[in-house]
Amino acid sequence: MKLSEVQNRLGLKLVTKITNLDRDVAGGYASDLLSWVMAHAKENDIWITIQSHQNIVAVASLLNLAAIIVAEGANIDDSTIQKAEQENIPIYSSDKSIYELCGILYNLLPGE
Amino acid sequence: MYLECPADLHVHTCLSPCASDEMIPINILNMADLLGTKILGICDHNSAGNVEAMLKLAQDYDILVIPGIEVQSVEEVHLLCLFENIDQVLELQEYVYGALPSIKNNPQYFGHQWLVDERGNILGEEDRMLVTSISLTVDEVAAKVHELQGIIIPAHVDRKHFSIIGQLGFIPDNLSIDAIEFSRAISPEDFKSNFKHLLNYPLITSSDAHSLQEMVYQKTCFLLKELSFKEILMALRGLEGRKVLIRD
Repeated sequence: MKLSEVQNRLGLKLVTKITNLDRDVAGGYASDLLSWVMAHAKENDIWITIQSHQNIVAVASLLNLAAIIVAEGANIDDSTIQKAEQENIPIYSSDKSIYELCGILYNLLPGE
Repeated sequence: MYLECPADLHVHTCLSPCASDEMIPINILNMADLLGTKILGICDHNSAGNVEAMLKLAQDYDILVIPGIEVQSVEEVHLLCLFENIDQVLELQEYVYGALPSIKNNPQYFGHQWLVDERGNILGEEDRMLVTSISLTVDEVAAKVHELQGIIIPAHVDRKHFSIIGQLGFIPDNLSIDAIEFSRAISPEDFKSNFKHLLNYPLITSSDAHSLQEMVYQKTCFLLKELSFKEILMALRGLEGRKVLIRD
């Protein structure tokens, strides 16, 4: 599924400006422990977290994740947004809980 | 020419709900004295409530007590924040208290948070929940500590949880820190071979003692001209022959 479609279906707010949204989302991943995400998330996953430190961008970039959703309205630092724009990693914000987002996303994406 | 000063920069008192009630100033200082510890960092979770009693009693010992707080940032990273004097640590405490969620501790589940005098007489109980994240980032805490001329050291970086590596994956280049701490759960040899990418930071290892028995872990040694906070800072920076060593 295209990232832009995931954005619409989940009602996400895009917080980065100059990032590429024309890419496919293969699956979803949820965790707040970045060391764990680095070891377990897969390429083209959309990652749902409440962690918003700028290191999330490096992790997403390293794994070539499709995008990051910062859930539950958690505050996102400007430094994180700037870094994401440099690295071309879209970041979305959502007031929904991680649980709700995962539930909706799970039903949207075809199972493996 | 240089004094060998065994150091443990991360010891909890009975203010930390997870620490044993025996962790009162007189017991901690007597234990440190028996072990030959010369530098003792007192770092309770998100509070410096028992630091004054520690400093007062330390005047009777040949031990330098370093006032500190183990801050838990919004990312759930534990950071040792150490200072030269009580005023600085109390200023950090005010900053931390302003960023704590307004949740009360429930001693039944988490343990008591005793405020005590030098001999362990109970002066009161802190009712803010201390073992939780404040709303400030690692970067904000580091900036505040340095503004107050303190030392900031990410704690137990080898652990999966509550460590900068576990929570954030790696140490961001732009984060200014003075050293890193590894825990007693890993041997110095294993730390050096498993965390090669962190060896460009000055290293310490501490007991993170929550009981007297745990204070026995003693592997960090500072080489200083005299026992002072300024000398410790010089040793962490490797200035003029001052050093920090890890014993195997």
